[in-house]
Amino acid sequence: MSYLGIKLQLVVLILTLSAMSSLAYAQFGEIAGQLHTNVSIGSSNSVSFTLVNGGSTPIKFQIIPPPQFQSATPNTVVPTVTANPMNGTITPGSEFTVNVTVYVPSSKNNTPGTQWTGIIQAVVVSNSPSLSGSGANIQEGVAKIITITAQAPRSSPLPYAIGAVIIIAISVGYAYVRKKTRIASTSRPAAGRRSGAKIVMRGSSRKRSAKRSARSSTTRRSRSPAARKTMTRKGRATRRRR
Amino acid sequence: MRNGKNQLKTKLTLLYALISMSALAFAMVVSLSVNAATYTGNVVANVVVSNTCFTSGTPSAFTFPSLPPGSSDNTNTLVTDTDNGGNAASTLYIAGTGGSGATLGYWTGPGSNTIPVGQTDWNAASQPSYLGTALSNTLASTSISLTAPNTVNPSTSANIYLGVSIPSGTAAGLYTQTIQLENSCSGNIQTANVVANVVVQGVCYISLSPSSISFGTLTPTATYNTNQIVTDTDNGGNVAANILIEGTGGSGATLGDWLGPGSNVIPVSNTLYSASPQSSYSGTPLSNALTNSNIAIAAPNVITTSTSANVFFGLGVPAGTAGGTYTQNILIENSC
Repeated sequence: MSYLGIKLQLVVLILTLSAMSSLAYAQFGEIAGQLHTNVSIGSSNSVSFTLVNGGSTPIKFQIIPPPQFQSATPNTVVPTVTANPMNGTITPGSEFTVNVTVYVPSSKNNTPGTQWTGIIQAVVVSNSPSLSGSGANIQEGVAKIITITAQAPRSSPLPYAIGAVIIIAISVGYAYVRKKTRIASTSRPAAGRRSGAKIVMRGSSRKRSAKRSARSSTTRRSRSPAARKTMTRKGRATRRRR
Repeated sequence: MRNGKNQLKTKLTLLYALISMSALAFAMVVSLSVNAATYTGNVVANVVVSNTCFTSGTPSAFTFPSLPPGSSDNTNTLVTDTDNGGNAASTLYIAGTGGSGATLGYWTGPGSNTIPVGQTDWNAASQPSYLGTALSNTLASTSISLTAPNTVNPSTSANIYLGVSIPSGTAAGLYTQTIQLENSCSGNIQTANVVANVVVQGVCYISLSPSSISFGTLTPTATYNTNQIVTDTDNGGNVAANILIEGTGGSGATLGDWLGPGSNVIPVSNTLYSASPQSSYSGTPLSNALTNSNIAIAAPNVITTSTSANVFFGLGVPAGTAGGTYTQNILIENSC
């Protein structure tokens, strides 16, 4: 191959490489539209937005949640915004969905209808800064405006459940006390009569017989024949008297 | 005597009736025999079953995935062409129909927006990319054959796969195209329509050039006119975008500042920007918070597929700034 031929091939190669490098391009974009989400105070909600790579080379990106919010309502506690994933790579000719979770904290000034506006950024991450000396690096990215509207807190079933348990407990307690009172009130007059009778019968034979029978039955059951033999005379006499 | 006479008369009457009935029955049998012999014969029926084929496209309507402009969907959306009840082999022909005049067969979208008929392609086999023959608004043979149905298999079918490519700058919205399938057999043509839908997403792109700017060497109190250009291009989108700007880099009190030797900085706000080139150091001070520059990029369209806007930067060096090399990061973002 002649020297001229090699030179020609080199020129063709350089031209091809330069053409290839000019054809390879990154085209970072986002699907249009604002994000809007309604979030109950004390709760969170999720929305998503989509990034696009319309170019022919992969694009690395990083998500920056809103560092600040604007709100017409003063002294609010601003929402917390997290993105998932926080960074990634979009392959050429494809889309990438970023999920955003918004939490609205409970606060005196965070009332239903309060709105906040912030900007979520997706910034292209460059592996090699183009600037070598003095000057400014120009970074590119896309921004997505997010509007958050606070809604009334969600009604939790827990307080209702606790309330129900308390009411049931009070009802049961009341019913028990009432029942007890009723028994006492129905039995008190009879008991009174009986107690009167008891007073009358305090020294009567009936009470003694009841005691005796109780004692004798115990005695009968517990005393062995040997023990009976060893009973004292007094005891026998007492027993006979009974 | 009289009784015997009566009995004889009765018997004679009965005998007469019996003979009469026998004669009548004999006559009927004879008559029937004579008729049968006269009218027995054969009937010959003829019918000609012509060769025919039917067309049915399934599904009758389908939707491609939502696509941004400048992108395509693989040629893998299946449409089954069925001949149900025919008896002749056929060949599938295909065309884009609907619309009229110059846009015959086109996808019709919001307003008067269209997508050319040829942006739909077809293939006899499923493809992992947008690869096939472009659809046209005149009938074209696909060379896809359907075997003849018969009494054992009264229905035969063939598959065709469709894909779509959305041109850059196509306006956002829902587009619809009517595709005609025609099974052709021995001169008979049966047609069926299937309706294709695609939603073109609204999108804006960003592409900045150059990726760095330099203000050269400046002395303290010197300024650089606001004329260092950065071009922001939306190449192939279809929605207008706002440009947002912020100075980044550094942290805390020096967030966004020019960072120099040691802990020396030039405040972020000493960088000015403007939508047009200035013959002086003038414009809006840069901030370390993302700010709407009020510079917009017009929406590209199918005729002008690329639109752009310029941002011009200038710099003022404060008095007493320590000598050395200073750098700053400027973040430019498009929002739509």
